[in-house]
Amino acid sequence: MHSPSDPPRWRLVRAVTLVLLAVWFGVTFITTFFARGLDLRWFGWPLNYWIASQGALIVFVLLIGVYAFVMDRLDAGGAADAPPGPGAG
Amino acid sequence: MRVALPTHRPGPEPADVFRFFPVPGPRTFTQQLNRVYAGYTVGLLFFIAALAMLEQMGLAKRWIGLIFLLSTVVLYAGIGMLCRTTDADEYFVAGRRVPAAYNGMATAADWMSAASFISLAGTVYLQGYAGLAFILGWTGGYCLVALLLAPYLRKFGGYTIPDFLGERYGGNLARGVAVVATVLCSFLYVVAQIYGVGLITARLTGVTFEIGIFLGLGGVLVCSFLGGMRAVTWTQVAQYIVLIMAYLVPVVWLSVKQTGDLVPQATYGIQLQQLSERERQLEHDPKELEVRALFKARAEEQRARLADVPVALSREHDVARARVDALRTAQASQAERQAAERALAALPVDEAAARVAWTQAQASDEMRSRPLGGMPPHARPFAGDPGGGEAERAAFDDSRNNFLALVFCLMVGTAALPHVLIRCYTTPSVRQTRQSVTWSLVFILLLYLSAPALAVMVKHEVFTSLVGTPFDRLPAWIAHWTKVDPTLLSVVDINLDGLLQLGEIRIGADIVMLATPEIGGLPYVVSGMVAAGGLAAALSTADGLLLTIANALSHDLYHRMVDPHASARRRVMLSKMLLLLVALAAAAVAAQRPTDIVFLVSAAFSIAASAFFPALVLAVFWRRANGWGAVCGMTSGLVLALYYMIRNETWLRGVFGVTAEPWLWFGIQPISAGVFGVPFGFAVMATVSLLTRPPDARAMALVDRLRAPGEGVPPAVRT
Repeated sequence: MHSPSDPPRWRLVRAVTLVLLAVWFGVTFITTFFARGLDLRWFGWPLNYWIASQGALIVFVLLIGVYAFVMDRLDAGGAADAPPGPGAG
Repeated sequence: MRVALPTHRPGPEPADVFRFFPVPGPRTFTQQLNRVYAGYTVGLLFFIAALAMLEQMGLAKRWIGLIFLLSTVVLYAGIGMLCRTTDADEYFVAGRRVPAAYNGMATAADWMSAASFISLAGTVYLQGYAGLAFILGWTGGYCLVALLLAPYLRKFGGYTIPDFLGERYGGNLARGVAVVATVLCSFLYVVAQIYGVGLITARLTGVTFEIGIFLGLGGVLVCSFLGGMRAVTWTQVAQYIVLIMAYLVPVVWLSVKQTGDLVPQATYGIQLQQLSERERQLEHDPKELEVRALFKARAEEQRARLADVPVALSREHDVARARVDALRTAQASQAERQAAERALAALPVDEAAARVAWTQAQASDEMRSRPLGGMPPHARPFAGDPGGGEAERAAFDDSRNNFLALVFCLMVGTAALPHVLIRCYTTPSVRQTRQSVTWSLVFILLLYLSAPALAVMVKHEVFTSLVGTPFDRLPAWIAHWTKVDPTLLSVVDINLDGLLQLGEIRIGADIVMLATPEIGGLPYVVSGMVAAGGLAAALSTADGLLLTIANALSHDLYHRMVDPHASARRRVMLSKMLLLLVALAAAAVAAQRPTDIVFLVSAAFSIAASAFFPALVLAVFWRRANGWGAVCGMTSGLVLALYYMIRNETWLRGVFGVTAEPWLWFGIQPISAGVFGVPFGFAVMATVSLLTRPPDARAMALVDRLRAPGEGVPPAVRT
C-alpha cells in the first residue's frame, strides 16, 4: 500500500483517515466486546448501555465533523503553498 | 401548503471563504431554500392545527388518517411536478448544487426507511441491548462513508456507482458486475419499502393492503418519474421534515407525561434503572411464575402432538367433531354451537399444515414460558454468562459474536449501498460533500437517539402501569390495536385471575411506535401524523432506490455498454421507462407478501457490503488494484454472501428448495453473511490484482486525480 512516490499530502490524508478509523473501531468494536464488564454507573446510566445507545453515536458525529474540518484546513493550506513541502508527520 | 422551488442556478462557490457550520454554499440559493422550507414547515403546522380543530368538531378518525396520508402524498407529487426535468445533469444528480445541509437532510430521509421509523424502537423494546446493534450499525457506517468514500466519489463526479467502478477498473466487465449487484441489493430493499407502505396505509386508514401499495406507488412514481434526482432530493427534504416531526412530537409528549422532561434522550437513564429494578421483581412474581408454568404446559402439549402428527391430527378432528355433535344433541345455545364449529373449521386441514402450525405454536409458547415473556433484561449486554457453566459460556460467546457481526455488516453495508452513495454526487463541491455527511448523521441521530428512549419509556409504562391492571379496565389503545392486527398486540387471561400479567401480553415490534400517541393520550391527529411520518420514511427510501436501479440500468447498462452514442435526452427517457417497470415489478413482489421483511432489508446490507465495499475502498487506497481483481473480488464476495444466506436462512432455503443441512460458520447467523463476504472479497481482490498486470495509465491518472488536494482537476471531457 505504501509507495515512496506518494505525495506527502496524500500520506497525511491517509494518516488522518487511519487515526480516525482507529477511534471508530475502538468505540464500535472494542467497547462492545467488553460491554458485559463495563457495568458501571455513568450519570445514572449503565455505562455499557449508554455507550451503545448514545456515546458511540456522538463520537461518530464528532469523527466525521473533525475529518471535514481537518480536510478543509488541509485543502486551504495546500492551496496557499502549492508545491507540497517536506511531509509533515 | 404552497411550494415554489427556486430555479436560480448559482455560480461556483467562492473558495476562499472559510465557513463550516453556518449553512455553506452559494448564499442566495441557500437563502431561497431556507425561505421555502421555513414556509413549508409553518404550512405543515397550520395544516396539523386545522385537522386537530376538525377532530374537536367531530371529524371521524378514519377520515383524519386518510386526509393526512392523501394530502402528504399529493404534496410530494406536487414537488415532483414542479421539479420535472429532462436535463441529464438535473435528472441524474440534481444539477450538483444541493447545499450541504439540505443534502444531509435528503440523505437522512433517503436512509431512514420504514424499518427505522416504525420498527426500530420496537426492536429495542423486544431485544433490549441486542437491538442496539441496529442503532450502532446504522449510524457508525457513516464514518466509513465520510472517511473512505464520499469525498473521492464527489471528486470523481460521475452519475452512478457502477460508473465509478467502471471508470477506475477500466472496462465493461467491472461495470456490468456492479450493475448486477446494484440492482440485486436495491431491489430487495425496495420490495421491503413498498411492503412497508402497504402495511402502514392498511393499518392506519383501513384500506386494503393492495390499494395501499398502489397508493404509495403513485406518490413515488409521480415524484421520481418526472424529476429524477432533482425532484427526489427536494421531496426528500420535505419528507424528512414530516418524519422527524412525526417522530419527536409523540416521544417528547410521552416523556412530559411520564416524567415532565422535555429531553427524554438525555434523561431516560433513570427510567431505565427503574425498569431494571422492576424486571428483577417480575422475574420472581408468583403470578408471573404461574403464567409461565401454564405456557410451559402448553408447549409440552404441542411437543407431544408433534411427536406423531397424523394420529394427533385425527384425534383433534374427532374431539372437535364430537363436541359439535354433543352441543347439537344437547340443544346448546346458537353462540356455543357456532364457536364449536369455528374451532373445528380452524383445525389444520392436512399433516403438513398441522406440522407448521404446531411448530410455530410450540416455539411461541416455549418463548412465553421464559422469564419476562422471553425478553432479555433490558440493559444487559448479550445472553448467557461468561462466568457460568459451559452452556452459559457458549451462549454468551455466540450472542456476542453475532452482535459484533451484525454491527459490522450493517456498518459496511451502509458504506456500500448505492442509493446512499449516489447522494455524494449531488453537492456543489468536495468540501460540501464532507460537510454534508456530517449533517446527514446529525439529522439521522435526531431519530436514532430517540428510538431507544422511546423503547424504554413504553416498556416502563407497560411494566409498571399496565401489568397488574384488571382486564376490564385496560386502556382503550389495547382493544383498538388488538382489533387492527392481533399479531401486533394480543392479551389473554391465561391463568383466569382477571389481572393482566406480563406473560399474558404478546407484542409485535411495530406497535411500540404506532401506539405511542395513544399511550401518551394524544389526540388522534398525532396518530395520523405518525402514519404520515412512516409513509414519508418509506416513500423517500423507495424513491431513492428506484432511481438508483433505473439509473444503473439506463446510464451504465444501456449508455455505457450498449449504445454509447445515445443522446442525453434519450437516456433520461429510458431511465423513466425503466423506473416505471422496476416499480411495478417491486410492487408485484411486495403484493405476494414475502414472509420476512427484516431479513430482506438486512440481506440487502450484507449483499451490498460483500459486493461493493472492497472494490470501492481499494479503488482509492490501493493503486495496484486492477480490473480483474475488482471483478473477481466483487463476484466472489457476492457469491459467498448469497451462498451463506441461501444455505442457512429458513425462508431462502424454502424458496430455493435447499435440502442440505444448514452449515453455520462460527455460529454466525445468515443475516450477517457479509462478515464472511467482505474479507473474502478483499482477499480475492488483492490476490487476483497481484497475479495480473498492474492497472493502465488511465486508471493511475484517475487515482491521482482522486487523491489530489482540493476540488482536483476537473474531470476529463466525458463522452
